[in-house]
Amino acid sequence: MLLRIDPESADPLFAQLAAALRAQIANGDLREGDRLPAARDVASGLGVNLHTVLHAYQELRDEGLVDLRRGRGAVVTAQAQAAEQLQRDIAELGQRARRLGMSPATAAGLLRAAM
Amino acid sequence: MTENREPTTAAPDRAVTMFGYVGIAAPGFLTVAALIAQLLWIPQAPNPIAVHWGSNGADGAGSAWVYPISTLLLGFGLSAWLWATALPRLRRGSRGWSFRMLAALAAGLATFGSVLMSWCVRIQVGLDSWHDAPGILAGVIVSMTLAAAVGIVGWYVQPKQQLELAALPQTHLDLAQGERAAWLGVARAGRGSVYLLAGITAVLAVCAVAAWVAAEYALMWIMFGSAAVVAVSAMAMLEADVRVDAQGLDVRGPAGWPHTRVPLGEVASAAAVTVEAFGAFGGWGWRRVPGALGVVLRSGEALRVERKEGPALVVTVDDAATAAALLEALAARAGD
Repeated sequence: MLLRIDPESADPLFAQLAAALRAQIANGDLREGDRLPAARDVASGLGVNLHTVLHAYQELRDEGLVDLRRGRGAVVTAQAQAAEQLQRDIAELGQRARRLGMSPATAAGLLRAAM
Repeated sequence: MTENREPTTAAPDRAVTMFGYVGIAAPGFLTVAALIAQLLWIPQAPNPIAVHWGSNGADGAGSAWVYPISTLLLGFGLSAWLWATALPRLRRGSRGWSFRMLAALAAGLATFGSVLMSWCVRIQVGLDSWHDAPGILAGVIVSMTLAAAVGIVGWYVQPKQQLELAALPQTHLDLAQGERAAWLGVARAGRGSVYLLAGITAVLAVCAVAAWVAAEYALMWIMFGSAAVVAVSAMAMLEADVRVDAQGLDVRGPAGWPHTRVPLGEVASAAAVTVEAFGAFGGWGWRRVPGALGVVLRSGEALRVERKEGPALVVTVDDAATAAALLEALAARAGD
């Protein structure tokens, strides 16, 4: 799996990393039961602190996308499958909003209000 | 990545023809000739016939059928397998050191089997009893020498085969100046290898338990030890972690062993290729062949990294195109 981060970006590194993993889950590259790479390997591969990687993994756990288990690492949950489907619906929704000439802020506001 | 090696498609070229002669035709001819000779000689030999020799001459007798059957197995067993599996792959354009080696081996084995088995029958022609059979040391020496000679000739009459790995579609990746990127993948064995290795381990373990029940403790420890050795080497055959990052390419088995790496500074090029484990590397596992080290846990998609100097590293892994693109991008950026 390809992971890219940009230290010069305004987003914190852990958030960039979490976003990269979330994208892999959303587009189906990571599926239920798949294991995320060992945090140590990701940290040394990207030249970031181990805690940055663990922070990203915890963020995904808080979203219910992965399970963190001692000794087993981070495993993608069934929730992730749902996220992948939702991603497709949202992409469609985004397209419709664009066709209607709606601003992203308005569309996001509508979505938030609906939940 | 624009390199695109043409797979060898030139219709039956010398590599295929000579492979056929050395690995299949020659063993077939030798085997048939030996079988005819043995079938002519067996009626004139004692029945039962001497089939085993110790330090004091013949010490075991049995049915003469042992000889033609052994001749057939030694002479044409490997060839039949090459015929069924290797020849079609060569015809489709696979090339590699191991094809040449296996054909030469088949010719050598057939020579050994045909000469030795026929020798054993021939020396007993006209004898009254198998007890009178003379020693066969000369036969062993002659057949082994001939086998080695035939094997060597068989090797050299075949053309040198470049490791041929067909290129897969390549992708390109742009890296920003300060951007950090890593590609992490796992090379996994095919399902067949998993079952096979698990099966071998299980059989050895069952044998160890059986030996324990039978109170054969020495045998138990041998079986137990073998099971452990197979299990540990199986680990290295089943999985390897593959990482591409600013340091280069790093490949390591479970628990960090075996381990190999190509530092970024040594990377000349990287590409996604397709590998036929048997044809290119002679089998599965961590394998060294002329021109390449292969971490070949299955056939199929693989990452090939050419070094500026020294052997290439080939790792069978999914999504190899992305790994190759990242390695090329990192190397290009480091070279700027």
